[in-house]
Amino acid sequence: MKKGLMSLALLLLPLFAQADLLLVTSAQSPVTELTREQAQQLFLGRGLSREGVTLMAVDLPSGDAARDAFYQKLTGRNAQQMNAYWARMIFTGRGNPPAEAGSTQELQRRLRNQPDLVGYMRADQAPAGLRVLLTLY
Amino acid sequence: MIIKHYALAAALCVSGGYAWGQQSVSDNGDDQLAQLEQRISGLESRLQQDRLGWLDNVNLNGFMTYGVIRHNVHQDLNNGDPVTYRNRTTDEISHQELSQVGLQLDATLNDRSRMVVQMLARGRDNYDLQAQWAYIDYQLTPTVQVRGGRLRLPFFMHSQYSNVGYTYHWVSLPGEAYDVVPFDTMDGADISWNVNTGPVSHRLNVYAASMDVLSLALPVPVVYEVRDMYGINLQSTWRDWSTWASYTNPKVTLDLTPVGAPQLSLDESRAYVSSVGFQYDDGRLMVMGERSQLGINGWFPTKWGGYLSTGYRFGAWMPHLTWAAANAKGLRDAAEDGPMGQAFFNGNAVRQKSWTLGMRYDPLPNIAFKGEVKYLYNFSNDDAPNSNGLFDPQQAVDGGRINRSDPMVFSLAVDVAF
Repeated sequence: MKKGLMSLALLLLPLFAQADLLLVTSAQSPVTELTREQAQQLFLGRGLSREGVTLMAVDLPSGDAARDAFYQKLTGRNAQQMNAYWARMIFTGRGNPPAEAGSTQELQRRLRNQPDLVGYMRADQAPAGLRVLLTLY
Repeated sequence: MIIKHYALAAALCVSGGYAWGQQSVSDNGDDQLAQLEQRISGLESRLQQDRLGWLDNVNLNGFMTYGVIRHNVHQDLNNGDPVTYRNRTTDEISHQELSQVGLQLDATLNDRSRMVVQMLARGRDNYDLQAQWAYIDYQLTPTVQVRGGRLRLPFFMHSQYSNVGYTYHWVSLPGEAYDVVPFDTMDGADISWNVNTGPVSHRLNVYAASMDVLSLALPVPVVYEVRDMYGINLQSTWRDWSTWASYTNPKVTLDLTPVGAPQLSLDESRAYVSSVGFQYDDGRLMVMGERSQLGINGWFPTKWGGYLSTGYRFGAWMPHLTWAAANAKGLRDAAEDGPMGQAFFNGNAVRQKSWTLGMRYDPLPNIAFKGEVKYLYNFSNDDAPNSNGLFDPQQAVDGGRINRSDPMVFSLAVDVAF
């Protein structure tokens, strides 16, 4: 029975894996992993330094399905709620939202070239040469 | 959210004009002309890049509220004026009271410095512009930020963005807690320290400032001169929870000669403003609460206000319910200053409780529609015998009461932000 369940899970894994989101950085980065709380600190503009590096978050363009899914999984907030959150930060001078990459391809290129950047993408879009810091299921 | 402004046309015009000037020397043959054209196009693209680079460091953000509000107390004051709620709202629909528009320019000057200006135009001020934020920001270290100029008061949990309706679920913040100090801005400097202790993020803020607060609570408008104001506040966030605590310690001077009571003037009286609060928001369920307090030595009442609020998101819809209360203490102390002291106490004492039922609807990004009904009750007790709550403190001075047993305030608003 257990074996049967396991093989079913293995069969279904690729389907679920598509919905997984990866937090990724350059393979040259000294940072090897982040916790969920650290990822929240970084992507909600509260600042995060690891291994002597001040990390910088990069977003996918607004409206991108992976972006909405990322914030939903990481913070429980949808796009509108994230807008309200950033309005509080911006209009009190406490920070601006992460810079936006134009596309997943541009994000991949920027991550490879700048080791202090951290971005996110769908698991099936993460190319070799990037390091996975956290998987959001 | 952020709109970067590329004044491409302007850059082209300027670089084009510059190029045209250079071209006047180029009448000595085709080769020279070609060389010059090449140089011009090089200069043009450099100029464009410079300009784009400069503008790339400027963010423009904005927000706006259009709202309507009225109450149901159809009664006049002793002098014939209508009864007002929070000094302005009457029983006639007002399109001005809630409406306002703000624009914020945020220019990054270099790796460490920014200049931020936020101008606000309120409907109730005939859309006259006022600077809400105007400061230079210097990043001392990656975690320490120093700002100087005009800053919004950090007295209460939502104070610094109270003018941006899009950021909260109510049409307007609970007056019980936020009218304890009916003022928005200060002139001074602050230092903020962002630090993470494990999974908990903190922002500690310390400031020194001064301000002049106009008060309409007495028969004649008076100005509280607030000086030597030092304050501290701490906001801590862990997952879906955040807490807030603040304490401020100013000196207050108030000349009451124009009111005919110079003996009650405040001369650098010690005062304090404090607030504690919490918020929980997991994306669906929202719960928050706060308690604020103001005390000034002398006849001035010790005022406190607070609220508990909860809401639940059903997709784009969020119904919410808030209970709020405001109270004042210190009548006996004020009575030592005679009938005048007692009258001034009453003019500033606010006691009321309220229930607010509201709905926020977010059909699309960056726009929210809101509606609210607020029912107010429980206005007076031994300490604040003539209080009408946030309905006309002046009338309390006159000894009058509103005659309605179910006073309510109705409001509708649409909020946008970009």
